[in-house]
Amino acid sequence: MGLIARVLEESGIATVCILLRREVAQNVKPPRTLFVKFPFGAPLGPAGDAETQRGVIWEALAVLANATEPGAIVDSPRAWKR
Amino acid sequence: MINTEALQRTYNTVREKWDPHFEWVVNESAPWTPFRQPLTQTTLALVGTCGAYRRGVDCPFDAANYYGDPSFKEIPTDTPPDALDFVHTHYDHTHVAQDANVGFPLTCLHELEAEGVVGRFVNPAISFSGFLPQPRQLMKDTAPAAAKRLLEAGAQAALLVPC
Repeated sequence: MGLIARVLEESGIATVCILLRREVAQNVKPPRTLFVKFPFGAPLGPAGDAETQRGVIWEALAVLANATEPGAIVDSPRAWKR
Repeated sequence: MINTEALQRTYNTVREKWDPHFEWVVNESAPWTPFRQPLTQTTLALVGTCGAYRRGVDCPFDAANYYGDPSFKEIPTDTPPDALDFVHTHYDHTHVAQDANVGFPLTCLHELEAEGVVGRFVNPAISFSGFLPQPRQLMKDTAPAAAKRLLEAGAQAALLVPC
């Protein structure tokens, strides 16, 4: 995921990654990351929860719009509720 | 490199089960394309790594391969989410099997386009299957090809969703 982001970014496409392991983002260094504490298999939240899916995507787009330094990582305040 | 117990466990498991030469990728810096324009005027692409493909249309990813499958699918953005299946053997499919938008959010991005939050949702979306312990071919061939395809389709920015 982070590796693909780096290739896109090098091609001139500004990227934001949603990632589920903060330390992977720290090591791979995608350009912009939203770290979400959700389990693998549910990166945008539980099945059927369109509100959470939309909320996470909004947070990621905010990182895209507002990050100012390469390798930026923003922690989502969301917690897994199931 | 930052290491944790969870990363070490994953490292050990991948080496024992699939790839004895697996190493984590560590980079010292990140590339950067400045993003200065309003989202409302941005052509936004979706790139997912959940292994999404169109049932009965695309050849599924080669999930049985110990080294993964570095190829990608072009998913037309008018594909109904329930026409997607997922091939990826390294995550629990409970949620994506019920709701493809959890891993490949076509519906939400269409809504954001319709509401004018983003300028345009780039067609096609791009799908990878994200377990690749040896990412050389991804970095050298397939990810650059995906970037080229997205640029041809007008992408200025991309949202990347993991699995």
